[in-house]
Amino acid sequence: MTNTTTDHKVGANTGWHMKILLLEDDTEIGAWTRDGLTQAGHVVDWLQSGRDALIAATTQDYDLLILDRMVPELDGLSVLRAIRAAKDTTPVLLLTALGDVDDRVEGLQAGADDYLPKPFAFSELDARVAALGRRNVDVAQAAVTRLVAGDVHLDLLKQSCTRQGQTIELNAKEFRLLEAFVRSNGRVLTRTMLLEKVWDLNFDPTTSVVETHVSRLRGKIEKPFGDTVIRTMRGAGYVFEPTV
Amino acid sequence: MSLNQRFSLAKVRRMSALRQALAITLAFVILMGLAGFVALSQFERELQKRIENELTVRFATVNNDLETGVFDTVRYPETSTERVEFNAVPLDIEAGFYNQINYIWGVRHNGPIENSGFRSPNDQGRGQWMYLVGPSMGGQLIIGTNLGRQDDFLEIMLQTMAGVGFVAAVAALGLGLLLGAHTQRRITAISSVLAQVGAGDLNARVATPRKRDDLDDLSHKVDATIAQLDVLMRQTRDFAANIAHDLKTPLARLRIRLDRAVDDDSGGNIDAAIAQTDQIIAIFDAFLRIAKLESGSAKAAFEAINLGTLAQDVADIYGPVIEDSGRSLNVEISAPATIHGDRVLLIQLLANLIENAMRHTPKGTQITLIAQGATLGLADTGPGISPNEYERITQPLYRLEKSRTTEGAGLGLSLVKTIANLHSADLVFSGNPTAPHSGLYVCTIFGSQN
Repeated sequence: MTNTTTDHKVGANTGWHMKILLLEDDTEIGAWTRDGLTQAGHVVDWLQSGRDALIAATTQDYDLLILDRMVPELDGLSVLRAIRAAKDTTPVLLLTALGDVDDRVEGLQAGADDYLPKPFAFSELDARVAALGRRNVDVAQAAVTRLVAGDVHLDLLKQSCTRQGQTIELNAKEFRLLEAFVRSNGRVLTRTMLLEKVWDLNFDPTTSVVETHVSRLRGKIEKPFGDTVIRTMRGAGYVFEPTV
Repeated sequence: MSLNQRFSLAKVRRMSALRQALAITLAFVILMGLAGFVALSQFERELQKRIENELTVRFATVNNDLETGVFDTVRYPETSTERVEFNAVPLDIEAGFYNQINYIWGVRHNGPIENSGFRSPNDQGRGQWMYLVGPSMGGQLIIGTNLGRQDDFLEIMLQTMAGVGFVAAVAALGLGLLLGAHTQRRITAISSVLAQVGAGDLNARVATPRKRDDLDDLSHKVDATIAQLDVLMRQTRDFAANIAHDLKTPLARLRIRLDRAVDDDSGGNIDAAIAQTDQIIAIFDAFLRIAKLESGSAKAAFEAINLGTLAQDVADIYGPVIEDSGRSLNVEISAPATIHGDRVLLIQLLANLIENAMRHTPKGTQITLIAQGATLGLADTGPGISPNEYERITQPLYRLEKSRTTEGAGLGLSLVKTIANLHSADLVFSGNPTAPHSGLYVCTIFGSQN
């Protein structure tokens, strides 16, 4: 999780841009987040009070809401609850300084689609924003039994995988890891995102758990074919780029 | 102990023990008065009945004397206690008898009078005489008895009772005040100690040597609470000092990196500074986590967890990592228990132990993950640690001297301990049972009824 605070080095985010509502009361973090997202090609409305954010969210059409939990007047969680109560399904990413299990569960129960504890590297936010776009949420949650990305085919029922027609033997965790990559739709997956998606862990192990497993998966999915499908984005995460 | 003894009415009104004593005494006095009143009127009624009986008997005797002709005024002289009168012709009730009676007994009589029955000369109240009028030998027999003695008797009794009552009431009030004041002093002592504690003096104690009643119990509990508070406060202070101390190192490193970046902004120093910042954030995260876990709120998310499944999950996650680091991982699962706990926290517990094992053991070390009954643990064949360090290594920020140079903030085992505590599990350190005189075995033993 390393990145600079000024120039927002971002991953290979594709050209799809979103209209984002950012609720953040801290001037510095707010400006930094807004500038980064703008630089990534998104249109950002930055508001500093929960009440304004709720009004904006209900009167305008956003692709994504980024809500800070602790803001004046109406906190982010209340805004989220109000929006969900109004049957608004716009994806919501909660930001919070309370990076704790309980708060996380509380946030997700209130209807947040993702949860990011502060402080965060911009690359982490960038990857999560990209993954949360309304279109991506739809893809990720679609009830499918087969997934195809380039020459990689996954059968979710049989838990089997082929590449270029050749069967690749994967254990359960490796399969889940690959599935996360295939579903990522070419967007960056950070280490923390993988820990959550694949291992259901929301703490950050200091050892290289993710690196090790990715490396093992590479040994099976890349080595026999002599190419690279999982690209490491330095300081950001991984991008799955299957050969077409 | 500055007992503020300034006496004011408003203060007394707020002293519950004194107020209670006063209230009870007052209630006692009222009840005693009531009891005296009831006793007196009961006594008077009984006395009246006896007098009436006496008069009736006397009337019968005199009537008998009249009938047998023995009646004689000499036999029945007018005394201070008895008067007997026979009128051959019944007196005129409205005037004569009234006047006569009036005259004879010298007492005014107001009510209507019949020619039989008991009379008090004054029906409106008690007179000095009471008489029985009845027909006898075609005439009228009147027997009167003096009530003076009875009245005296009643009065003496009233006075006695009032006197005794007064003395009892005064004694009760005095005793109540004394006891109330004593209790009040004890309460005041407790409350002044609490006030001192509130003002920040954690050395204040009620210090009651006795253990006689609930107030003593309360004093002892207050003292125990303050003592516990004192310990916690001291721990917090030490903890804060340790945090400040241990964060200084990464902050100093951060500063150096930033200093260098001013001259050389090729990027290496900036990346290192960011990494240093991340480490500081990680330390704070660990602190927050420990603090949050110690508050116990995480228990709400507890679920049934099979220790075998958990160990297998952890082995799946960490096995490759351990192998890549040049160490090996064994998993030993036998009759694993199902406990009540938080899966992620328990994984974190094992993860911290594994990370410690990888950090502090040489390559080639064999690491064993054990789930045996209600025990979950990790053993390694590394150098181990000295048994007298077992106690201290779970303290926040404690680091073995030899590991000062390795990475980590010294919070890993502290978090392990906190998670174990949260699950009411014992955290036990020992040498590796399969590798004598070396290695370390850390296990958490969950309660059987967890």
